[in-house]
Parts: sequence; structure tokens; C-alpha cells
Amino acid sequence: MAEVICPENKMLEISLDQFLMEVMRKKQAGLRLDQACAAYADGKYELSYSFSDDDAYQFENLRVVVGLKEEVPSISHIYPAASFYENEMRELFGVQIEMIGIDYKDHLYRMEEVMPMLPTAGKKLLEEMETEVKSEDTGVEVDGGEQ
Amino acid sequence: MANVKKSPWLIHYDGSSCNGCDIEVLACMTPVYDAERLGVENTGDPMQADILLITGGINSQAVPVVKQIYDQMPRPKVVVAVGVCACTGGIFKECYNVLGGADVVVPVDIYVPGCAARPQSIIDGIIQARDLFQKRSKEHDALVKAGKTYDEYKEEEANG
Amino acid sequence: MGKRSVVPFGPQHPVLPEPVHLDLVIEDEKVIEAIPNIGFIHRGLEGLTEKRDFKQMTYVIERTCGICSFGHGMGYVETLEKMMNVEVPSRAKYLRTIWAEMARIHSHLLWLGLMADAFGFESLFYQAWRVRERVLDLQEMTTGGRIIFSVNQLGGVLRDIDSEQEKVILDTLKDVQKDIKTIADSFLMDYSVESRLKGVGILTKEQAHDLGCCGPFARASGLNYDMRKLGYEAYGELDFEPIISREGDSFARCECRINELYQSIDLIRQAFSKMPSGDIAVSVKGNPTGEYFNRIEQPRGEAIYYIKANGSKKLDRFRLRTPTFANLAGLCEMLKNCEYSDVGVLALTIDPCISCTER
Repeated sequence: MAEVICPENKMLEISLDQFLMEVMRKKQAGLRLDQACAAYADGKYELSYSFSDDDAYQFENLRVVVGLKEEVPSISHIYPAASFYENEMRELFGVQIEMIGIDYKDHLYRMEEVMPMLPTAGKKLLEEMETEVKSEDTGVEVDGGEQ
Repeated sequence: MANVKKSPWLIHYDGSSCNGCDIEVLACMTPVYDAERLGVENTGDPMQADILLITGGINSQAVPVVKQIYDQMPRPKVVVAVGVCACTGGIFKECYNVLGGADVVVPVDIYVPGCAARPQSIIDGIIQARDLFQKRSKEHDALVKAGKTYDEYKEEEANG
Repeated sequence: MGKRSVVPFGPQHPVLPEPVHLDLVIEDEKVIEAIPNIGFIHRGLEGLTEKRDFKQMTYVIERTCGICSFGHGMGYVETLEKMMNVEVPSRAKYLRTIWAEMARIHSHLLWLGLMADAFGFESLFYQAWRVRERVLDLQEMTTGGRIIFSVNQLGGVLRDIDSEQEKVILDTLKDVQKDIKTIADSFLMDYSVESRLKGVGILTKEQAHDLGCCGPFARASGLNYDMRKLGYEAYGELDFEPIISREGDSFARCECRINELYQSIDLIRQAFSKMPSGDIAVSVKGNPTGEYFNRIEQPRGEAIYYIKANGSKKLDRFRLRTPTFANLAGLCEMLKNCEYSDVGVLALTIDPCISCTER
């Protein structure tokens, strides 16, 4: 009879301040980076980073919820393989990830559409945020900005 | 299939296909469905090829590559679109990065449907492409004999 | 210190079946760095969740890749079943295992043929694909399709394998095993193959772990990492060990894949001897909610399926992380300090499936 390993899926939700610390802890424990992906939910990005263990096949996930224009630090200096995942998140969703190791500057897939995976509701929100910033800079009142 | 004047060579390029039709095209060249008995051979060089087999839909990155391969092939040439993705865009037609089938970029002569296209249909497409190639070769020879260039011939045809 | 130049490799290349572009920085015939440029096969099928409901997405996801097609369908359907707490009948689990192992055999034989063709062994390429046709005939007999066979449905499978078909499958596998032995021995014991592959493209165990490699690529470097040990479908009741090698060079990768061929034939025989009788599917009502990560072992390595649903017919988010995406970093590391003329052969030892990578 084969020996069956049945780990559970663990998910830990953390804030952006604790993010780098938790990733360093995973590296210290000897886990490897499995994948990183982004999803859009209710005006925010939900980033999921998955780590797994070679011997016991544990699967641990970190969940970070960030706003549409918040800057996220890259983990490619801790885990070099993260470069491809982060380039993809930035190009498809528009997540503002800074300091990526190998930076394709939004030309990984070289598509014609900009941020194609961000739904129309998200794109509208981004536009509204930009008009608000512009109106603050020029000091001109803009009607129609929703709160 | 009476008089076989030449043995046209194939080149195969994958636009943005899932790979299913590609491996069926390669399976056509292998022992069980052997298309080499018809005289065709799979080459990697566009300048030595007569028939272009395109699989998969076309996305914006593939447009200049397919155009370049088509332009590098010498005339007369025939284009075959293999699989439903190369015919119309297939199941991925509504994806954000797919422009359509192969006829977005190059003029297609023969359409082979299927998902993935079976080797028997692909061989049928290759036989029809070979017959069409024979016809175009004869026209091309007549042009050369008359001392005309291809552009002059096309102009005459357009003016009627 | 010689002069450095950048040489493009691909997208149209006689050695690789799929378009991928590598920018190779060369100095005196040695590769210093390799930077991949992908995007030729990017269709954006994860965006189709907005337009298709979750049952129709099975057919879209099966067509992510023609070679790994059954595995993708099975992984997606399994994720939904775990989210909705569906108990799949035991016979359906064994049938899925049998088809998954047949898909693994056909994928490794395909790889062996392409590898031999890259060397110039055209007749070995034809022989490997001739043997592969027998496996494709078995798949066509049981499911109706040669490479894309849509037999996965939510709650089980669509077709059954009766006792006559079982006899035909076991007899064919006996002949296939003999043929594989002849072909594999003439490939592995050839002097020119050994001298071109041994000691070339080495990836150590630490590098493979740090770069997140998976599948036979990582197992050939000594990492004991095979998702089938998680016991999904019927693998929990079958007896096998992951095939591991210590050297980490290209020859070890070839050996690992060829030994996995024999292991898959053995697994199919075990599955047939233990398969119970019963239903092949249960009916499922309702829509999925919540989110779930699922991992399975494809022929090329570990694939991760992530689904996020909100109770309606259309999914919120579907994400597929394929094994070649994880192996890309390992490929770039392995190509450093190799000869320029070896790049095509080394790229084939990782068994790239670019249509899976770019979806």
C-alpha cells in the first residue's frame, strides 16, 4: 500500500506591512515558491502567494489585500523565480509591483490591450481616482466624482 | 492524381494554437498515416517550401511572423488552414487577444475543420493543396513563357 | 575577453514545435545569458470566465494544451468537486487514473520522438511515434477522441471501459512495453547521445529548489517531489515511488522520463486489477462558492488550479499555473555556460509546453 500524504490548504491573511517579513519567514523555513496570482474583488486587488514543502507536501498561502494604486514590494530578491509571476500580475491586472528583478516593463506578453483581466468596474474606478488626483493638482473643481 | 509534375514541400507554423492540431500534422508525417508517400516533405525553411500549413488562431504578436514566412515563400504557393481555430478562431474567438483565423493575415486557399483535426482530414487537405499547386504551377509556367511578370498578369486580370 | 553579441532563437525553428523566442547573449560560442520572450500563444483564456458558465469552461480549459489535455480537464473538475463537496464514485476515480496514465505515456513518447529528431535520429522519431499511435488507438477506442477526449464531467466521467476493451488494452500494453524497451535502449546506450548529453546543462538540487522547478526536471536533480503522492483520484490505493536521479544533467532527465514510461504501464495494470464496479457519475446541482487551490501531477510536473466563485453560474476568477511556467527560471539558469549549438537540445530536455505556459 502506498503511503498517502494529505496536507490541508492553509491560508493566512496579512497586511502589506507584514508582507515582506512573512515571506522571509517562509524562506527561512526552507519552503519554495509555488505560484503567485492576483484577483479583483470590490475595488481592491487580492494577491495570493503560495509556498510548499518538499518533504511533507504542505501548501501554505499568504493573502494580501491592496488598493488599486498601492505600491507592493517585489519578492524576487528573496525568491528569484517570482519575477515571471509578478510581471504577469502587473501586465494583466495593473498591480503596482516595484523593483522586480527581471523587469519586462509591461512587455511580457506584448498585447495590444492594457490590463485586460481587470473588469470594467475596476477600470472605471481607476479612471475616477486619476481624475480626482488631477483635480487636486490643478485646484479645479470636478463634478461627478463619486465617493 | 494522374500526372504528378513536382513534389511540393510543406512548412508548418503554429500561430497561437493549443498544440493539438500541430501534433496531428506531425503525426501525418509518421509511419501510420504517412503523407510522405504523396511526395511531400516537412521542411523548416520557408524559402524551400511550397505549401504553408497554419494551425491555431492569430494574435497580435503572430501577425508579423506569419506575414514574413508567407512573403519568404517563392511563388506559386498554397496556404492551408488546419483546425477550426485557424479557420475562424474556434473556441477562443471571443478571447481578448485573438484576432481571428488565419485569413486575417494571409489569403487562405483550403480550410480543414476539426478540433483537433484528424490526420485523415489533414491528408485530404494536403492532396487538394497539391492539386491546386499543380494548377498554379502550369499558370506560372505560361506566364514565364509569355515573358510577363506576376504584377503585369494581376493587372491584366483585374482589368478583364 | 571576447566580444558579446545577442542572437535571436525562434519563434520559427525546426527543432521546437512551438513558437518561443529566446534572446541569447553569446561570447565566443558560449551562452552567457538567456532571456525568454513569450507571448506568441497568449490567447487570454482565463478571461473567458466572464462569458462562459462554469460547466462550459471545462471544454475551454481542456483546449489549453493538446498534449496535457486530459490532465487539465481532470484538475479543473476535481477542484469544483472539492469546493462543492461532491463524492465521486470509486469506479470513476479509477477510470480517470487509467486515462491520466495513458496520457502520460503518449506525452513521454511524443517527447522522446522530438528529442531524437533534434539529434538527427529521424528513424527513431518515426519509431517512437509509431508506438505512440497504438496508445492513441486505445484512447480512441475508449473515449472517441485521439488527443482531446472530453470525458470529464462534474461528478464523474462520461464513458465506461467494459471487460472486452480492458482485455484489448492489457494486450496492447504488453507489445508497447517491448517496443519501448527496444527504442529506449538504442537511444540511451548510443555513444553520440551520451557524449552530447552527459555532464551538460547541470542543475544542482539547491538551484532546482530555489528556482521552484517541478516535474521530471526537478526529480532528475534529486528533489523528491511527485504530486501523485497526495493520493488524489485512485493514486492513494496504488503502489509506486517517485523516480529520482542524482546527477541533474540532461542525460538524467532523459532517463527519468523513460523510466516513468514503464512505471505508468505498471500503474495501469494495478488500476485494472483493483477497479471496483459501480456507477460512473453522480448528478450535481447548484453552483460553487468560496475558493480552493488544487494540485495534480501532469506529465511535465505540478499544475495548480485556483478557482474563486460567488454562487452564480459564472466564476469570479480561474487561475492555472502550469509546470513549464515554473520551469522557465530553471531553463534560463541551466543555459548559462553551455555551447551555442546545444541550446535547442537543452531546451527540449525540459519538455517545454509553451501553449500551457501562456494560456
